[in-house]
Amino acid sequence: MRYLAFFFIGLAGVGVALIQPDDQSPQAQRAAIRETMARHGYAASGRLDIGKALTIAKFSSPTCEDVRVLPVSILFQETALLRKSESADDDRAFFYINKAWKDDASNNVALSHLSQRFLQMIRLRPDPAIDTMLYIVSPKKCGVPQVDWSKFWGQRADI
Amino acid sequence: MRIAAHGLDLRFATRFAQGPIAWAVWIFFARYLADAWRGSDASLGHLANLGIFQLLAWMVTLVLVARGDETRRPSGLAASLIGLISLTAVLPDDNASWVGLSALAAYIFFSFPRDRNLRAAAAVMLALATQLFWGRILFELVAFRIEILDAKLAADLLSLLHHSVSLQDNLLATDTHQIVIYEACTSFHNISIAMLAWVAITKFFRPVWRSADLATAAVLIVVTVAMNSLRLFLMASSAPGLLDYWHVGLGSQMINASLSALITVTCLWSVRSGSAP
Repeated sequence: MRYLAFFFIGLAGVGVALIQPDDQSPQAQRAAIRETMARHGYAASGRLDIGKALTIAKFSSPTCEDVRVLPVSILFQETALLRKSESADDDRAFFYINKAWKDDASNNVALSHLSQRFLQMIRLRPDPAIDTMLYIVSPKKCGVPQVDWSKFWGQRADI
Repeated sequence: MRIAAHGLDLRFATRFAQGPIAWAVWIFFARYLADAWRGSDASLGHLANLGIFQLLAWMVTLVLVARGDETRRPSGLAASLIGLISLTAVLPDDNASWVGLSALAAYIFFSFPRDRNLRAAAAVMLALATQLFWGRILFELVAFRIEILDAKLAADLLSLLHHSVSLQDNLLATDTHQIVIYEACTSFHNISIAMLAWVAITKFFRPVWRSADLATAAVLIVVTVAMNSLRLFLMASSAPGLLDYWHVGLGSQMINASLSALITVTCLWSVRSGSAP
C-alpha cells in the first residue's frame, strides 16, 4: 500500500502546484497601489520616468502633493536610480509587509523576507512570500503617508 | 480487501521497480515541473525555458538513485520517514519542496554511508536545492554588494579599453547611456548554475569526489565571471540601439549558449582527464 501512497502524494503535489495563484504582475501591483492610495484620499497625479528602467506613480491629496510610490525589489537594486529622483526636502521609506525602514536596510529586509518565506511554508495558505517592497517618497512637510497596504500584500496584512 | 490492496501494491511496485527514495525523487521532480508549468503561462513552448542544467540535474539524480542499492524491501519505518519527507511536496509554498529534497539528501547521507551512487544522488539533490532555494537566501544578504562588484568589473574593462565611464553603486554610465545591474545580470546567478552543472556532470560520471574537482570549480567560476563581465561590457559599450541585442536579444542568447557550452566542456574534460584542467 505504501507505494500507492507515494503515487497519491505525487499526484496531490502536482495538483496543489497547479492551483496556486500566479505571482502578482506589475500591472496588478500598480492597480493595487492606485486603489489603496485612492481609499486614503490620494488621487493619481501623473508619473515620473527614470530612464527606461523605472516609472514612479505620483499621487496628491488636498493636504499633501507629490507623494511618489513604487514597488521595488527587496534587494535594493534600484537605489542608485531612485536617488536621482529624490531631493533634500523629501522623506522616504521602504515598506515590507508589517515593517518600515527609512534607510537602505538591506540586511533587515532580507531577514524579514527570509522569516516570511519559512512562515509561509508552514501556513497552509496559497500566498508566496512576496519579494517586492514599497518605496514611498513624500515632501518633508507632510511626512510619509500612513496607509494601510493590506490590499497590496494580499492576505498577508495580519502577519 | 487487505490482500487485494497488497496485490495491487505489489503490481504497482513491480511495474515501476522503485524504492521509496526513487518515489520521493519522482514526487519532487513532478512538483518542480508542475510549478514551472504554472509559472510559464502553462504552455509547452514556455516549458522549454526550464533551466537545461536543472533538468540535467534531475535526470542525473534519477539515474544515480536507480544505480544505487536502495533495498527493495525497506523497513516500514524508513518508508514512513521518506513518505513524511515527501509530504512537503504537497504544501502550497513551492519552497517547501526544496527543504524536503534537502531533508531527503540528509537522510541518504546518514542511512547509506557506503552506497556511492546514492550519496552522489544526494549531492546532486543538495546542489539543486542550493541553486533554487538555499543559494537565493544567501544571495539576498549579499546581492547588492555583488551587483556593485559586477558593475565595477565591467567599468574596469571599459576604462581599460579607453571608454569614458562613471560608476555609482550598480549604475554604470557611459557617454551615451546608463545601465543598472540587477539580480539576474549578476555573475552570482550564473555561477550558481555553473556549480549545479559541475556537481551533476561530475557525479554522473564519477560518484566519488577528487581534490582536483575543486580546481574545476575554480575554473568554472573564473570563466563565468569573465563571460558575465564581457556581456555587461558589450551592453555598456555598444550603441544605445544595440542594448537590447546584448540584454535580451540574439547577442544575449549567443553569450548564454557559449557559456553553457563552456561549462559543459570544462566539466566533461575534467571528468574524462581525471584531473582538473
